[in-house]
Amino acid sequence: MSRKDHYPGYIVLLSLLVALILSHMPLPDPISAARPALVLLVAIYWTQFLPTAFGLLAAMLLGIMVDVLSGSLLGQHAFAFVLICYVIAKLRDSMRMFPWWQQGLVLAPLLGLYEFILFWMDGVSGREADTMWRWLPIVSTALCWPLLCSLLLPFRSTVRH
Amino acid sequence: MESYRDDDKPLFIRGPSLTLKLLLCLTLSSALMYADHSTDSLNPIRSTLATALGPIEWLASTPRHIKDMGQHLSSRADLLDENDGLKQERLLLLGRMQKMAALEAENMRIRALLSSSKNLREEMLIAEILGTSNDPYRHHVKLNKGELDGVFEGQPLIDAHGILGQIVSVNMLTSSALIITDPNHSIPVEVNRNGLRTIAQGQGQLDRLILPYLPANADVQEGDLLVSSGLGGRYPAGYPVGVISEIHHHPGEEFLEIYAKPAAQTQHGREVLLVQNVDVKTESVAKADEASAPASTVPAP
Repeated sequence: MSRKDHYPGYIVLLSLLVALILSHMPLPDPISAARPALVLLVAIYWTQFLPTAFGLLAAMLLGIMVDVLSGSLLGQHAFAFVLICYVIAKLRDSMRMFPWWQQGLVLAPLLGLYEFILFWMDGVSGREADTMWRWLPIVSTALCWPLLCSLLLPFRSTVRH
Repeated sequence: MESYRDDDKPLFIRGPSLTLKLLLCLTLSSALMYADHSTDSLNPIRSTLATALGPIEWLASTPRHIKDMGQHLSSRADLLDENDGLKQERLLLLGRMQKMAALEAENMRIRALLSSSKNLREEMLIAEILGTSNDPYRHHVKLNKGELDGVFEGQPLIDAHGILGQIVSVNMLTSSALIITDPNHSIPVEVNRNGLRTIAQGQGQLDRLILPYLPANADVQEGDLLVSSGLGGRYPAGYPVGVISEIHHHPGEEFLEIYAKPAAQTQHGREVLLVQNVDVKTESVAKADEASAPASTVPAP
């Protein structure tokens, strides 16, 4: 007997759209350094729970959209998204062992890698800037994971066949 | 080995393997990055995508639209007050303008006599700021005027108080500008008091510019006004850029550490002006010719 998770198709698109919108909403200066990487988080969610529908190519296209919206080097976020989603796809089985609130902790090092890739690319392309608060999104994004799971898990229906 | 743990996994993998896909995607995005970094060839793609993603940006700025709606409901008394204030300000400015017209004409005549070409009056296009960059380390703003309105890359941007930045990318209907406080931005300036030329760089802080290239014996004082020098050909000359706020002299260092506060309101304000005719050479020669003609008709005092 195999188990398969199902989500309604519209919820995938809607979650990605909302994440894109939220991550480009203006924030007050003091907290804008801590803006969570919501788009990446949603991409991670679908890579983990809906691997058949959301693959690396989707992650790359999403990354390019983020690049265009944020005005960064074209391909920068795409690169980081693809790499992180690959690791998530490889870790998928182990991730299922953890309760979803602990998965946030597992994600933290990956989010660190993501921030480092972005930071590194910024440096290589000569766009380096103040680095003191670059670690803040790691914390805020990891904290958003349980929230995202609690929002999206109700839409899951498990089919056994 | 894993097959007994995960029933989802098909026995025979169809299509390319995950690692192959990874390598493909990484190569593709690296190629994109390289192309975007070293050439301009991706700009059309970027601007097409940006136009397509316009609705997302519009939705992301809804909190501000709602705030604007609140302004529509502001009370009549407030509006009347504002109206009065504006009328007074207009009167004052008109008064100053009378003198300005005479001064401008005089300046033109004198410049024509010196056969120097300097453009005093530039055409302006009013644009509205649609949004600011969400990356705190990058000072970009998005404007509601694009290629269709005649916006071009490198076009200077000012507000009511001074130089704000320059256009760095243009889409069909919108454009984005780099603010002078961005860490990647430098602007040639001169000290208004004595004409001392230097360069003001952004630091990534909205209220601070740094002037790193002035020697320890340079004649600068706190409170000196910095205006654009027009060197480099990107900005029109003579617009305020900032006011010197701090000067530190470290003994043993050859250069002063000078900070300036930008004159433009980098953090607030919605309307900005795009300076239209920065093509200083061709435009201003024509203008100087125009100016010299009436100058000859004016009887010498």
